[in-house]
Amino acid sequence: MIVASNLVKNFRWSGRTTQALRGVSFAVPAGEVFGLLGPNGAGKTTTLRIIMGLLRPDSGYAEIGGVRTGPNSAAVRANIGMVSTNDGVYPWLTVREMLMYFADLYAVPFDLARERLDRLVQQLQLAAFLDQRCCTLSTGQKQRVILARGLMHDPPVMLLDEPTRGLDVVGSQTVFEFIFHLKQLGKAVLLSTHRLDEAERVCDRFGLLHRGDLMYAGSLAEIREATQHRHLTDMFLSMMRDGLPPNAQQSAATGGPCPLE
Amino acid sequence: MSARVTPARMIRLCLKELRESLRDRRTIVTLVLMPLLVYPLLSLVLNRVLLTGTGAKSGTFVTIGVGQELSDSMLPVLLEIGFGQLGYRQTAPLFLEEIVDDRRRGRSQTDEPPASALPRPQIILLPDNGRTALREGTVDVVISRQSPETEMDRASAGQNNSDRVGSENQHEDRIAGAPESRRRSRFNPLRPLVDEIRAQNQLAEDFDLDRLLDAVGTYEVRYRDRDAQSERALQLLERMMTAINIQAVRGALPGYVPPLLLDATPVAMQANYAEMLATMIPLVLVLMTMAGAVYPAIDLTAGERERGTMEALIVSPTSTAVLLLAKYSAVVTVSLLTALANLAAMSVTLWASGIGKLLFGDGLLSLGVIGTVLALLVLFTMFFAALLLAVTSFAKSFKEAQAYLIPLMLLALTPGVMSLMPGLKFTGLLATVPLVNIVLLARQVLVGAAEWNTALVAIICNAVYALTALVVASRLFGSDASMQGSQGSWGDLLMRPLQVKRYPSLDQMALTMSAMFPLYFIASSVLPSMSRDLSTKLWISAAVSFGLILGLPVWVAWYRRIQWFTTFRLQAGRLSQWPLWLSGVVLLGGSAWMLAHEIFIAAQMLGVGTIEIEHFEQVAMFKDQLSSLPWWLVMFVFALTPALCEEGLFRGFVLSSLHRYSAVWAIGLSAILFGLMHVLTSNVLAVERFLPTTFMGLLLAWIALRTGSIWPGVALHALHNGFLLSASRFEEQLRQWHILVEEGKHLPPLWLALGAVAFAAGCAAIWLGTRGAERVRYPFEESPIE
Repeated sequence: MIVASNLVKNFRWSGRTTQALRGVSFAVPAGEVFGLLGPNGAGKTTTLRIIMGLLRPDSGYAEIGGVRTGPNSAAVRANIGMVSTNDGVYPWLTVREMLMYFADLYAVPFDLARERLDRLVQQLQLAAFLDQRCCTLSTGQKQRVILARGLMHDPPVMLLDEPTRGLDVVGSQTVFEFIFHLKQLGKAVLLSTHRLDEAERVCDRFGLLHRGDLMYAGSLAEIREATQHRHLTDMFLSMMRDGLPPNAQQSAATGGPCPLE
Repeated sequence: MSARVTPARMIRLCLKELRESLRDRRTIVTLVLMPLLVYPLLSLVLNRVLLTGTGAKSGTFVTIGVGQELSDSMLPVLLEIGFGQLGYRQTAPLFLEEIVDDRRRGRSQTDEPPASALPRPQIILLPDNGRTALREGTVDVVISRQSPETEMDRASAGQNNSDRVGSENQHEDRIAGAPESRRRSRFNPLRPLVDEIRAQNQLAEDFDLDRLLDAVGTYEVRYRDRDAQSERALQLLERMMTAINIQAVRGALPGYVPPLLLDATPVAMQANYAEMLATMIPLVLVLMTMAGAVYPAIDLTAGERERGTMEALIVSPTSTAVLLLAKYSAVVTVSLLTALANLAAMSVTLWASGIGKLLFGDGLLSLGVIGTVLALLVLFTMFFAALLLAVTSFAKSFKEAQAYLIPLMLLALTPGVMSLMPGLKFTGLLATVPLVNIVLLARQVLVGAAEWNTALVAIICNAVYALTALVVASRLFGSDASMQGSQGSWGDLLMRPLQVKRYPSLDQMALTMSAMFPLYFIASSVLPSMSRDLSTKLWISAAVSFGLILGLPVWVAWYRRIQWFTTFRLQAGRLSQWPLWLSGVVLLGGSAWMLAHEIFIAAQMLGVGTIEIEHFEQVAMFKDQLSSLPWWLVMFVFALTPALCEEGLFRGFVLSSLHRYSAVWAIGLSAILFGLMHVLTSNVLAVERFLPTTFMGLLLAWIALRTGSIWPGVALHALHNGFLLSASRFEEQLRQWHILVEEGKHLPPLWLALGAVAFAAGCAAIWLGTRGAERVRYPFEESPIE
């Protein structure tokens, strides 16, 4: 459902060039949760932005359902739901107004939008504050609204950019349940996070991103075998300590690990 | 899933923006509280300005306090008489009405009292020396009799003080301090006046006129220093006393007329102030409307980014243009609500404080005027909201947006304050300057002197600027450059792209046109007037045309790496096509002017004409001047230059930029732009030129699209202009052969019939000459060049 193929992206800041992505490739089929893991600055958000079509890669491409993404690909965007840490709410709109607004942005017919709203209200327990203005909500409530917002147009692909940052245990649990729910619905989910514990809980497969390179990709068992570490945390630390392992270089050179293609 | 924009969806998108704005406390503050505060305060200031600036004027009267020691004196009566001498029938004291001298009376009976008639002062008897009342403002001046000692001192010291009236009078010095019998003697200088009143025999029998004689003497006037109202009262008092003195001298010397008479009328002064205030009011309204738009504009653009809702908006399949349009309509709506609130508050304040009546008389501040001013504010808001959105769309945060807006507001203030200059005439050139044009137009409307062709320029200019700003805003809004993690800056936006394109985009066209429009307007009116020689003038104007009309789009295309060949349709076509094209062009060149002429006449008959007789005279004079120049120069400047430049711009650059529209829309839009340009940039704002020029624009655009080449159009354009020029040059010969088209008359039916046939044949030739040929078909999406 989601395919990233050899994505390269450089940023130029006042004459200096930063390599944000150096040929990242992976694929996420429907019904799978793929964890894009990496420390801050590894290139997770850049990858998501390219997949959403907000950024144009210098080379390589990203596809959603077989259609390439790009700045003018409205049809592709309609198939993506996006939830990010930085996402906010409209303080002066009620929860209902805000969710219906996003249904309108995605051109969801009015009646269908109301049906979906009712369903999401039940799933994410929004009923208590559905007609409250968003500025009165707690952080956890806001996060639930943002999760609901991502589903108002019922997209087959969901991109989650560090969705649990700043949330307490209960809030995080809601997000996990949401991700399981997405999986049950058969959606392809791309979860970007630096919290390895939660990735272990919810992801089917992982990609370890470090300084713009996808160092490892595979299931937990595969990665354990490749890195000789039991926990993601250890893998991470050794990866950061040792730099680029030889097998990762290889995989990047051959187009990256894309076991599904 | 497509994101088609239905009206209902668009309305819902707009409503969200409006809700968001109107629920915000900060919007409400500018919307409601500001007008409630500003106008009453402003009216205080205006009142002040009016009082200091215009001197004695209707509606504002002064109070003269009379000191206690004068309580049984006849001074008040004498002052009334003096006021009667100054004034006007309506304000003259009733019981002494008939004593005004014959000349004055004659005038007051025949003349209507002017609108600025002197107000009758209120004279109050005070229980004490009146200093407290003066200080507290109950009275504006206090008059009291000078104590004999000071009087003597001053007289001997020869002091002359403006506080004392008539002290130079020798009689007074002699009589001052003298016993009562002396005052009543026949040397009393008031005696002639009293005698005259007695002779008139108009006063009540029991009124002892001799008591008036007691009033002779020197008086002391106290007034508040640097207080306009008090100074006015002093002036009035001086004038009243001088009037009595003159009258007394006149009585003493029958037939005496003072050698120097001064009759000041405050009308001119009043007009200046009224004009200034008539500018100030729209300026304040415009500024308040601006203030109303600022907050929502920031909130709906930079605010989205700050709240973290921008990314979710941008990743939605709804285009940024639609998102921006929704935001734009919300900003315009809030801004208009602010304008309405301000207009209401202003009208009520003007009405309640009486300033409106003072400024505009009784009828002028009518609902119609308020409505027109509101319409102008709508226009201004549409421009300013677009400008604001363009600026705030670029900002990443509230703070950044505010930092951008402060210079913008200052920039907007400068022309606004400039427009306050009373002598500033609202001409064609100023009509192109944003903000100034609206303020000046509103001033014209307020004083009831709007000229609608200048108004039209202002309106169209605002629309063009608004559209451009909107295009820029939608480009900036949520653009790659504005998102986090990229290197966005203004420089990137203006950077020369790396990719080569075949056709310009719509926003490039809009930007080019809106830059060229005022530039050409200014250059074509200023530069040629630098020379006195007609042929030099013509060369300059041709150079301006080549430099701006053709040069600017050519430069833009080069800078943005848009291919000239495709954009300007430089391909010449196949040789086999040219016989038909050429015959089509010749047939159309000889016949299109007839249809254009008939459309022109029809437009005049419909009453859209603005050309005045003077213009025909100017044209006739210009024709005479042209006939002294070599024929090739006239043809070069008026036929070839416009043919090359205008075809290059309109059928090249503009038509190419409209490739996303269907052929009908592209032809129509380019023709309307062509028509508008001709209405606005000619030295006479001739509205009736719009329809025939647009008609020619339709024809030329059709030919350009059909043939895929600019050249048949250039030929037709040159032929058309050359034909009309020749007709006017060889008018005399034509007259001899009895084939002359008279100005403002229909063509003979036979001509029209022949013309229609030739026109149809010409179109058919072009059509046949392009049949089956490959050509670019509108609409299309441009594919990038690898």
